[in-house]
Amino acid sequence: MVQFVIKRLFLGIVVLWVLITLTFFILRFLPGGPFDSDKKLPPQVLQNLQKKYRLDLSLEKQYFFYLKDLVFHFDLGPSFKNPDRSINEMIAVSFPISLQLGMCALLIAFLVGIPLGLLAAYHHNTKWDHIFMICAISGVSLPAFLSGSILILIFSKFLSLLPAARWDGLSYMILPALTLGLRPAAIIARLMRGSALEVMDSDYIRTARAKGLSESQVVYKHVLKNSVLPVLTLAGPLSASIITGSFIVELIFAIPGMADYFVDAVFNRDYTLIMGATIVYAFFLISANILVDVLYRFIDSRMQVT
Amino acid sequence: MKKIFRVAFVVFIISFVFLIFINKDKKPTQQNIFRFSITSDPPTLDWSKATDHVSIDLIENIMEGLVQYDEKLQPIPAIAQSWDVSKDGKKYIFYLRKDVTWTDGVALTAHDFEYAWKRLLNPETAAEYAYFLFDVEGAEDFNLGNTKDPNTVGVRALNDSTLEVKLRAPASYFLHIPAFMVTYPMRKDVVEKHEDHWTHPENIITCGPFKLKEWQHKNKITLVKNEKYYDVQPKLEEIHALVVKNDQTAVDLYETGKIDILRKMPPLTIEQYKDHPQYINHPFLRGYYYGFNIEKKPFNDVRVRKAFAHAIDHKVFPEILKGGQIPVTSWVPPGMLGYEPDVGLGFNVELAQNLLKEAGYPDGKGFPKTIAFFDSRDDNKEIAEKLQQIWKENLNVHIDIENQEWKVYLKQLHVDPPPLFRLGWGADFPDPDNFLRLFTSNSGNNNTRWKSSSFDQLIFKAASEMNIQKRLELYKKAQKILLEEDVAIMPLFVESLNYVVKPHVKGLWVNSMERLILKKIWIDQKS
Repeated sequence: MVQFVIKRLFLGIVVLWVLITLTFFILRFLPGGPFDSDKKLPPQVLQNLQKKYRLDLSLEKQYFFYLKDLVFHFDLGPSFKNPDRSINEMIAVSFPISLQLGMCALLIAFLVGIPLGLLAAYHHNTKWDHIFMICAISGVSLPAFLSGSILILIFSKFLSLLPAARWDGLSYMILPALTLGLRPAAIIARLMRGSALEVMDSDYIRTARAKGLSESQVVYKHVLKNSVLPVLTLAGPLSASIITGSFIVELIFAIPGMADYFVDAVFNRDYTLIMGATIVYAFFLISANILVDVLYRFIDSRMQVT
Repeated sequence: MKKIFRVAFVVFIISFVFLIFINKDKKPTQQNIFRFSITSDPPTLDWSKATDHVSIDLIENIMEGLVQYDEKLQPIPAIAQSWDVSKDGKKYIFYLRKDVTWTDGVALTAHDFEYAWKRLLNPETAAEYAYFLFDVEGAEDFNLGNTKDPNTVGVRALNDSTLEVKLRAPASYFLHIPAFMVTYPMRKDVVEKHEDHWTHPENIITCGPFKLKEWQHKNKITLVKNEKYYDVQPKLEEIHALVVKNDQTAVDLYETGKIDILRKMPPLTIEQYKDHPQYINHPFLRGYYYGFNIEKKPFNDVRVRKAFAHAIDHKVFPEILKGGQIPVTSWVPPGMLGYEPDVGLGFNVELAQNLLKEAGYPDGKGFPKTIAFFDSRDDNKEIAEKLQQIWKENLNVHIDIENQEWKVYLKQLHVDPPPLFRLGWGADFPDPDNFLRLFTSNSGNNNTRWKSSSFDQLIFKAASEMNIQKRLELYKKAQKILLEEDVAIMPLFVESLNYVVKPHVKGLWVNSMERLILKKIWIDQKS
């Protein structure tokens, strides 16, 4: 087991390094730089800026310095667009907010998705099944900017129950968490239904019933436990993407998370910020995957440790 | 099964009541707080380094400089109570008020200005806006690194209340420069002690009507009244600047009463509020134009350029954009000194067709394949498509249109300008010099490849001309060369500001520089 974890960790680091290298060089090949603007800077001013941010060095040297700062000091460098702040500071402020929002959304996704899928499977081919699955399919296909706007319209503008946007306390979390959680909830429900259906057809469920277990015992002890595995597989990448934030949800609800770093930083050619956001995202994706692999082995003893 | 649904229903009702409960603890608007939205977290509040609108909105309310603008955007005394200009126009002496203190109680002196100006120019600061002071003697050389000695820069505190500024050449617009934030004073001890962190709320020392209280990054900035402000105390107690990037979200917040002003309205919202008493439409000193690369075929022929300009009916632009834009054929915008509505080429299809014929393309026959470029934005696309249609209908020439992402576009313009391209220009200061110097031969922002020594001479002569009438004549001549004789660009329209303001906000000054000066605003709860 320990050997397995070490091996996975090592592989994770290699993946991270490849990613850093690729991102670093691809960014530099994008036309335009951080200091291009509609008002062109005089050459000497541009030179001063480039010197300050080490852009006057050769590309290999820049890469080497970046990697050195990252590995030895965990320093993601200064931001090109926010001259008073380092990337570390920026991510340290925004990441916890995205994390909070993501956790709420994830909770909603699992709390809604799993029971819904299970119920639909249990009432297979009845009206409940159809209703749940129509909900789930709409959930998957409704884009966040639409579902978010509908929620704002109903709960903020018509009912005046919840704030329309921003991040200032508990009541501000509900709408964005719901919007963000809706889609994964639907995905989970569909996956859960499929997998539960398969399990319910298997011999050991028939055996369980035959030996006189009550329906609830059959469902909770046998069906749920055995059909939740595929959902768990999905949980890794799903949590990484939800936790690092959804650009659309953070945008329409004006949430100070880190999701917009991925988009704005690219438009601004804020090289270090794109790198920082990508590294954090990749780090979480890789860690979540490793965690899921390890969890698998606890839940399902049939899995071979390789 | 029924039991489950009953439980679900109860849970639903409980959460509904809970929602109402948690929402009730928010008190309605407190008195004398003004709330507005900003489109991003301010990249910096360091006025040597800031370049963007969001930072400027905040800095202008926590700081003040030698001069400020009156309602006609003319410089009037602020920290400087008076000034003398030498006869040759090359030396300014500013006499400072003696009662100005910083927020920590320390007296403000002329040395604080000298330090701030030299810091802006210091190559180590790497300030983008350092060029604002290039009119000052020795400033450019110091910024370039030709000399390491800051004392060669022509700014000097003669004593605590007198600041002397020497220019390298007379500049008739120079008094606009100290109204801009990059020239505001700065505390050497504070900046040097805290370095890059000196603008954090716990460190920053300012002297304007408000002071920075709290900065929740990407979320909210709180300013409070500065009790030590030297002039009339502001009426507002607090200002909340909320970071809201999405324009529609800002509309939602305005409509649910969470902000008091909407400054960036999506076209649909403008339509919706058009006849509302709270709606304000005001010209904005930002021109929108299409430029030619006059070295590229077919626009190397001035007759083709004239034909293209004459073919445009400028009235269509406000019709498609619906934001109250002002159609213009001249370049210096209305609301600025030197606006000449009659300059430029007006709509004349017959003349346009004749010109095109003279140039060898009768009825558009044989016109080479040409592409007009613009940067990816919805409004730019609508205008490009409209122009494509106009030139097809009036000149029978087909122009392809192509868009590029902003930074890619800028790179292209600087390296190899396309034959036809879109750009805009917003005023740094409200003087025609700022709009016309753009197209001088050595300007880094002149992407047309057009060079005219007679145009250059007019602009430089106007800069050293102190008589306003004579200046205006020079600028008119220059505009005629740029727009009628050589037709390097085709101005299309001047943009406008579209605001909606809550009725309880009183005393708001809407101006064509888009400055949000809040010291005279108050909240009247009765309306």
